[in-house]
Amino acid sequence: MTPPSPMQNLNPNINPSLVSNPVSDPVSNPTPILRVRNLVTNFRTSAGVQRAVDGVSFDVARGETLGIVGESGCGKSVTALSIMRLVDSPGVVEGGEVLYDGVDILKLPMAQMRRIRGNKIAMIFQEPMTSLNPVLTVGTQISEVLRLHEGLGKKEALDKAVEMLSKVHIPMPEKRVRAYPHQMSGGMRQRVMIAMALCCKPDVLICDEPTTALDVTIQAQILSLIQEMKNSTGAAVIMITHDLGVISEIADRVAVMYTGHIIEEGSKMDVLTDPLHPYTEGLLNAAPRIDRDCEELEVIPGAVPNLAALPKGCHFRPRCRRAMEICRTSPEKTCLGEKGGRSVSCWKFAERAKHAKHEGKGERT
Amino acid sequence: MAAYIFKRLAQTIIVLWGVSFVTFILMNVVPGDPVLLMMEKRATPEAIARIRHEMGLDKPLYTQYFNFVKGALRFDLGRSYFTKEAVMTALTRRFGVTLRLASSAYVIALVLGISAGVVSALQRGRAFDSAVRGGAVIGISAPVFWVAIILQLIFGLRLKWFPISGIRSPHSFVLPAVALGIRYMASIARVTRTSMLEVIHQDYIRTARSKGLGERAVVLGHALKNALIPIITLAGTELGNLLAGSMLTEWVFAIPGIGKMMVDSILMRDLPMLQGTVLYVAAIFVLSNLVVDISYAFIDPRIRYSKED
Repeated sequence: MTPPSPMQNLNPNINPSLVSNPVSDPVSNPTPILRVRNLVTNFRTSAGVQRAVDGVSFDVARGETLGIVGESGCGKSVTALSIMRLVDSPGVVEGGEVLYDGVDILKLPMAQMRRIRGNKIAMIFQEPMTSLNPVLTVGTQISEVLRLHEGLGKKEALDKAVEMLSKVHIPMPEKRVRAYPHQMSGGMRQRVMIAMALCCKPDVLICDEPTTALDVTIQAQILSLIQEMKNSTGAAVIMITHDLGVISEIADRVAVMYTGHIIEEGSKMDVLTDPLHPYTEGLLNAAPRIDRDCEELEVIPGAVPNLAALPKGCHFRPRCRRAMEICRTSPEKTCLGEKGGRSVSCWKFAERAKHAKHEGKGERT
Repeated sequence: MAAYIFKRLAQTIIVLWGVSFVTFILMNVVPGDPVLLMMEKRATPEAIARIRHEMGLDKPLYTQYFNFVKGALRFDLGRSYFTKEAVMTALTRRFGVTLRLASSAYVIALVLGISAGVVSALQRGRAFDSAVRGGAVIGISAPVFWVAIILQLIFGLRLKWFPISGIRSPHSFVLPAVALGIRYMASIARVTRTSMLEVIHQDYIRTARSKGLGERAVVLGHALKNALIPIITLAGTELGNLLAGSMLTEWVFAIPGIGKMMVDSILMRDLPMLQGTVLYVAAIFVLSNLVVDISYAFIDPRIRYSKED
């Protein structure tokens, strides 16, 4: 009855004993609506296989907002697209499960997957300027979703679109419904995207950097709109961002990604105030703070490694201040956990985790 | 918009005047005398002079041209030197034939060209795509008269499916329409393919997919309308080319359309008839360009609004 070695336990970024323990869920919703398990998405290019998403696992429950944070190229967006099964060639989802309401949607036939897209799981994209079709009115684009999933007629769908536009606080919705995207500002377009994503009352809303392309005042408006819509529909929200400010604003739980792995996960308070992983610590130190006087912002030395040529052992090791000998030799990063829904992948916490594993081994599947 | 169209139509008149002037000069500069071509070899100089006088060809050139312009402003382009038929009547009659030929070719080119281009873009890199791209290169580079003769040989003489000349039955238009349409089909297929490939990777296509739309709705409802703009530019100019560029096809298939009328009148030095056909060609080009410019506005709302502003 010895705990399994990290070698046997391939890619478990989250200790299963902790995830399956309902007590450890801070939102105390026992059945997550979306469970992602060991998701692997590879890009097979001439430069080699790039593991953009490498064994990502997380849960998100109704009414909960999970923030996924990380630098560019860490696999946040690809994770989102993989859940929607929208990864473009040469990317391929090669492993894992995405359980929506208990059903693995990665294995569904395309026709059934389409009934889920935009209906049960909806997505908002980063670029409001290019994410709407320039030759169709916003009314057409919103009502299209309603006609498809709710079977509404042309007139009813358009009426509902007007209603949705007023819900996302677009002034003069009766007039705006006939407008084309180029006649609207970036913030307005993102509101249209939100209206479009939420018009079928989805269970899961994936927001892929919804505020990155907007200026700061509009960012705050859009975030509070997403929050408001989440509260009224009770959807689970996955908020993907590189902005820790957005996370602190809106997330309940936070997952930090690095080179396709979730390296740390926990409640927002825990992760932001007491980061465990040296990378999370580095991210937080690099963020400007109003309560601290400093000349220069701290940086994490080095750069994100090329996904086709990852360093041996821990992928963060070359940039890590606390690297130990074991970080160099261990072929796979090991997954270690703590109590309270927190998990972190770092050798620093190996000892603490052994305890946790002993405690939780009876529940392991 | 109305002011814009009016301005363009006014420009058309200037273009037509320029074209008629150049044609008039050229026809009087090149060797060959219509009266000599008309008369038999033994005609007396007196007879020749009389005919010349009857046809107004003894007047100074500027008077001749002035009379032509005066008539043209009243839509009277004179009469053929040989058949004595009014040029306008001949043009109208023959335009019907050319229109039937060109529109059949146009429909073939648009329907097959756009479908081939769209499928080719969606199947990028596969066998169908390579076939379309190879076929398009051949289609664009093969000379019309050669294609016409090959079609006559295979489908007319060997298989006997279609007549090889004349316009006796609707059947007769099939081979000429294919011969005329093939190169336009090829260029439309190429432009459609390129344009679709560009559009299909846009963010809004991903958005459309994320809404749960099927491939059909994504391609036809979201991608094609965006991809249409370069296709319309091409299709519009091609319509002009088809209506005004059917000389070779009409000649090979002996179709009495405007193209054949133009070639005949050049060979016979029939100046009024030639002027008529040249003006027709010029008018077709200018008008088809105008139609293209206007149709952009209907496809792309961004253009529509910027013009109104």
